[in-house]
Amino acid sequence: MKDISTMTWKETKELFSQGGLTGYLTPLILLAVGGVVYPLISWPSWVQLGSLEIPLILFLTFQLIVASAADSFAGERERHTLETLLASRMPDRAILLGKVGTLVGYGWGMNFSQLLVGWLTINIVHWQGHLVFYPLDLLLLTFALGLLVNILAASAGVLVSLRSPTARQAQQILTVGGLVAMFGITFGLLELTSSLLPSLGIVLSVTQLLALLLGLFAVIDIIVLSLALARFQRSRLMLR
Amino acid sequence: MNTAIVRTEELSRSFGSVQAVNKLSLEVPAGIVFAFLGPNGAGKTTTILLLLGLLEPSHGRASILGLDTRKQADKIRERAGALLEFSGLYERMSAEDNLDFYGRIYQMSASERRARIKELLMHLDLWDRRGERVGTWSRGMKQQLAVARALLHHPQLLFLDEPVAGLDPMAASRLNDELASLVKQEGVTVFLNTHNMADAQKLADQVGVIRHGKLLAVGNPDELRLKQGGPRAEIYGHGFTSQMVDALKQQPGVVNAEQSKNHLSIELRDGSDVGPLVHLIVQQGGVVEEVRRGAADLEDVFLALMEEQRA
Repeated sequence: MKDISTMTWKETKELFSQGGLTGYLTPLILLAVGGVVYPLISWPSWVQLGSLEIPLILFLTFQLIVASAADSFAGERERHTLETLLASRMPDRAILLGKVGTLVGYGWGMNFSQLLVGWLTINIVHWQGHLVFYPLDLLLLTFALGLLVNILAASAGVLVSLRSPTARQAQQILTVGGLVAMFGITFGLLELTSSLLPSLGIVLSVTQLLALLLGLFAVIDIIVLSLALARFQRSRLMLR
Repeated sequence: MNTAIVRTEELSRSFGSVQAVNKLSLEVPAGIVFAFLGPNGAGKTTTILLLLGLLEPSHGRASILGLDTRKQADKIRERAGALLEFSGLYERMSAEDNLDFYGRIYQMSASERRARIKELLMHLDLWDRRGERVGTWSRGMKQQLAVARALLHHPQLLFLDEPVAGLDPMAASRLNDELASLVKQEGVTVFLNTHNMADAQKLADQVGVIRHGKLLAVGNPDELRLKQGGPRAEIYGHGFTSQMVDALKQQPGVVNAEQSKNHLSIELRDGSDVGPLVHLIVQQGGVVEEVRRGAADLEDVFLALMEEQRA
C-alpha cells in the first residue's frame, strides 16, 4: 500500500504540474461544460438525473481519464523517465496500480465535482424557494457507476499506453476505442431496453438499468485490469 | 581481500541476430570504481540492464551483491542505485520533489529524506535551487541531480551509464570531480559505463574493455597501459627516411620504430634514453622540431585493443 501511495503522490504531482494553469485548464473546462452549461440547458431534467444526464457525466470523465491514461507509460517512455523508475525497487504492481488509482481518483473527483457544481448552478439560477436535491438512489448509482467507468477508462488507458511507443499513438487508439465502446454500450443498452427485453415482456426501470450496467462494468473492469497487470513486465517495457 | 560485488559467468544476451553481450565473465571487487570502456553499441548499456535484472540473459548468469539477477532482481534494485542513459528526471516537478519521490520509493522516513536531500544538494551546490522545475535546468545540472538521486538511499553499488555524455567539457569535468568526491565520501562501489578514456583514467581503479559484446581486457589502468607498451618517444620534424627508421630499430634501447609523414613513433625499452636517438636522426639528415616522451595512455590501450579485435 505504501508503494502505491508513493506512486499516487508522484502521479498527482505530475498531473497538476503541467505549467501553471495549464494543468487545471482541462478539468475546469470540463466542469464548466458538464457542471454549468449542460445543467442549465437540461433543467429541470438535470436534477432528476435523467437518461441523458448520467451518460453525459460518465462520458465526459471517461474521455478525460482516457486522455490522461494515454500518457501514463507511453509518456514516461517518451520523456525517458520510465527506465529509471523500472531500475528502482518500486514493485511492478505498485507502479501500475498507483497509476490506475490516481486516474480513478481523479475521475471520481471530477464526477463528484460535476454533480456538486451542477447542483449549485441549478439551485442558484432556478431557485425554487427551497433546495432541490438529486434522487438519492440515482445519485448513489451514478457514483458507483462513475467509479466502475473510471476504473475501466484508467485500466484500458494504461493497458494501451503500456504497449504504445508514443503517447500520441496511445491517445489516438484510446479516443477511437473509447468512442466505439461508449456508443456500443449506449446503443446496445437502448436496443436491449427498447426492443429485446420488452419483446420478452420485461421492462426495466432506470434504477434497474443502472444496476445492470454496474454488473456489466464490474465484469469488464476485472478483465481489463487483470490484462493490464498481466501485460506489465519490466523486461518487455525496457525493450519497447 | 575484497569480495566480488558483481560477478558474471558467460553472461550473454542477444536481440534477434545481434549478440549484444557475448559470454561476459567478469568480477568486480567491492569498494572500487570499475570503468566499462567500449565504443557505442559495444554492449555496455545492455550489461547494466542485465545486471539490474531489467533484461533476462539469453545464456549464462550474473550475481550482484551475492544475489542472482534472474531470481532476486527486486532485492538487487533495492540495494543498488542507477543513473542510466538518460537522467530520468521528472521535468515538470521540482528538484526537491524528484528526490523526495525516490526517497519515498526507497522507504526513507520523512526526516531521513529531508536530511539526505539537503546533504546531497548542498554538496552539489544545488540547495538554493531545489524548488525550481527541473525542466528549466541545464543538462549539467540535471545530471548532477540524477547523481544525487542515484545516491539518495545509500546504495552499496552504483551503476552509471555515460554520466557525462553530452555535457560541455567544463560541466563534464565538474561532474567528474563531484562524482569522485561523492563516491569517496559514500564508499560505494561504482560500475561506470563510458567511452571516454579520460574519465576512466581519472576515476577508475579497474577497467574492462568491451567491443561487440566481448570482454577484450580487464585490469587496473596502469597494468593495461604496461601490457600495451612501455615508454615511448614521439618525434616530430621532417627529413625522416626509411633508412633512418631501420637504423633506429638497430639501437639497443629501441623495441620498435614507425614513421608516418613528419612523425616518428618509437617504442623504448625501460630506462632507455632518447638523447642518442635524436642525435642519430640529426646525424642522418633529419630535422627534429619536437620530442615527446611518455607511456601509452588508456586511449592507446583502447585503440590497440579495438585494432587487435578488428584484425
